[in-house]
Amino acid sequence: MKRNIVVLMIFAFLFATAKSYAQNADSLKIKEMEKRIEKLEKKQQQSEFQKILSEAAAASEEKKVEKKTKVFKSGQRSLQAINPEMSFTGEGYGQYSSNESETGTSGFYFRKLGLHIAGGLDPFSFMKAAVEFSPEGVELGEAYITWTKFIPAVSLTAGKFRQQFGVVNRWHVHAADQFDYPLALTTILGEDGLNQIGVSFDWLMPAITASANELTLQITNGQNEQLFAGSTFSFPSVLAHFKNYYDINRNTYLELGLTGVYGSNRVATSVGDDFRGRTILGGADLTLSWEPVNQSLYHSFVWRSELYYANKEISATDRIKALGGYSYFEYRFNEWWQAGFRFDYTQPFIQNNSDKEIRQFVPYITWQQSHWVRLRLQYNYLDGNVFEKATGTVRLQMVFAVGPHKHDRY
Amino acid sequence: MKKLNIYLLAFLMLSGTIFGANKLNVVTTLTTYANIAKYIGKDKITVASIVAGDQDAHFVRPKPSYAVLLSKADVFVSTGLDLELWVPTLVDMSKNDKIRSGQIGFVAASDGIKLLEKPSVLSRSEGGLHIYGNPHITTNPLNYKIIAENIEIGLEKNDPENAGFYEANLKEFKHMIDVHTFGEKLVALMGGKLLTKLANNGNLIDFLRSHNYQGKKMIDFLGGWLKEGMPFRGRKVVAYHKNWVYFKELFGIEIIGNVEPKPGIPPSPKHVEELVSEMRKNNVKVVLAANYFDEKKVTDICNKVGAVPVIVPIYVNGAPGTEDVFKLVNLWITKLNEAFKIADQK
Repeated sequence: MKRNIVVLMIFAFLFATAKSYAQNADSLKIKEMEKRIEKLEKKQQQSEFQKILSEAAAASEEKKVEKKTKVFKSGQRSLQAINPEMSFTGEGYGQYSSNESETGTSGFYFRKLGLHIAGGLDPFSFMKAAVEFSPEGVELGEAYITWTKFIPAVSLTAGKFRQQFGVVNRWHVHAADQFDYPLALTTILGEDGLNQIGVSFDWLMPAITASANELTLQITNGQNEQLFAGSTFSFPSVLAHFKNYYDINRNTYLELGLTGVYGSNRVATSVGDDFRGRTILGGADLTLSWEPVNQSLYHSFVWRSELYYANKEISATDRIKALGGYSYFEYRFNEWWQAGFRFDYTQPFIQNNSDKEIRQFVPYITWQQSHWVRLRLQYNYLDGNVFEKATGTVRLQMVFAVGPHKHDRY
Repeated sequence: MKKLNIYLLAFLMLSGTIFGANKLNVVTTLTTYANIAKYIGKDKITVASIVAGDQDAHFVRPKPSYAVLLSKADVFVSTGLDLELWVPTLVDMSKNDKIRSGQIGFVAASDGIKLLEKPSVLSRSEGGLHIYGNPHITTNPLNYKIIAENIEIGLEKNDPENAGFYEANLKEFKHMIDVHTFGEKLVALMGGKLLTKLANNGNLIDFLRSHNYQGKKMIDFLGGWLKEGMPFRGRKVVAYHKNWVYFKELFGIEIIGNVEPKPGIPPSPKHVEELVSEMRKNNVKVVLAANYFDEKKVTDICNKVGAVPVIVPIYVNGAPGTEDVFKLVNLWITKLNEAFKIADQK
């Protein structure tokens, strides 16, 4: 009996071992199969992904241009693309005057057609020129070359240019905020202001007294008819302008400038000798400008004033001394409309003028059709003790620019 | 003790000057370029920009203080197209030849970007046309990668010693843009380069919709701005000016008209009337405008058709909460989603 039990136990043990062995083998097989499936799946995914990637790459490629028979052309005679920038400005107006002997007949006029050319000359310099066509003929407004860095921080301009006497004298009249230059400018500096041939050194100084300081020194022919010797000039005139520019905040700036000019005039004396008299000019300018940076298309305000003073020796004992100035403000209401008012005061440019004066009141409104076309309605009320009667003039002015015309004003 | 303090102060000022002098001085036109430059140059550069974030870059007065800023610049970044037409005047005023076009310090941010809307007719009858194509490249965040590449080249040319540093930052920035645009999963799966190519060709969304991976639609892997922008993809809007065309290309909005009849031309009452009728016809419920345009005009138009205005800055720092390019794009998408949500509930 005992023996039977032992045999039974051995048999049971062997059976259990065999079963466990078989189970282990199955489990290994399953695991192996699982691994193989996983591997296959990975492989399939990889190839699926590779396919996606290659399809993506194909989709990202642009369509190839079909190869076709070409006609070959030469561009050697078609280099107009490197012509300088050219643009035209035009100005016309209609006027009604209460005193035509002072202002000219009431009617329509075309004042100027300006051809403006600008472009780089080489890596070191650029040029600008303005040729003005008017009913009186053709005139060279400006033509100059500028070396952008003559010496560190200093540029050199040579040619004919509107000079840096204050602010407005530098501008072409079509770019001015009113129809005309201020009366003091045309009375003291001459009909067209200071615009002579010579050289100009412009130094962007280290900002000492303001956010920016600039010193301009201009040596030009003394060829202004009224102030210097006109076409008989022999001595140069020298102009210095010192600019102080202050950023008050991100919308507002203030600019103060001082100008001085020294030159020689040449006037024939009664005995036939040449008298070489001196001409001294002085000027001061002030600009306060407000323009919200995020609404600059719609609103702005500017207040600008200048003083002009001239002292011209016309003989050993005689002098013409004249003082004048203007002040104007202008407000932009929206992208179309801006309006302003200018007050002019000047002494006439004659001898013994201490008790003489001319005043002008100039309200105006400007409609800006676009950046390139504008219309302006302006009234000039001219009065003073040098006139027999006051003159009122209404003008409707149109100004246009075609081409890449830009202004450097700020 | 007082004497010691003075010496200490003098030393600090001097050392500050010296250390400051070692940094590249970068000036940019747009605040967006300045922000990207900072990501690439980090502490090796100082950055200043001319155009405020809420300013129209077309119309900036060339003030002398900007010339002073440019006179000290080692690197000057501008779009390089006809967006900032005042730039040559300022560069002339600065007397800094190093930053002139073609010189070592000049970077044209747009170089290499495929420009849209190249005009076929060059005439002012088209308004303020841009002869090289639309210059408002900063409204597509994918363009930031090319802008960053250009800035990196500019920094490297002027500071070759730190080339490795700038390159590493560029790589990091480009990856950040990819992740923000497409989402991390999709970038890990397909790579930013391929995704950018697909997106720039306008094929990305269709591709993702038409392909499966791991039993899932690939579009389900999309994340980032593009996923967030899916609710307004294909929807119609009116824009004030043509400065959203690059945004449109990436996010798939349909711009059916502009408040300006032609770029730079103020809208006449007749044009507004026509636009309003077009909006009604097309069921346009959103007007998108940069925040330097007349807000009243935008809201007036919206009120006429029950549309929702989305008035947002177009450049970095143009409003609170847009201190970097990522926050700026976030704002555009959030505001558009909100606007469409409100419009749909009306």
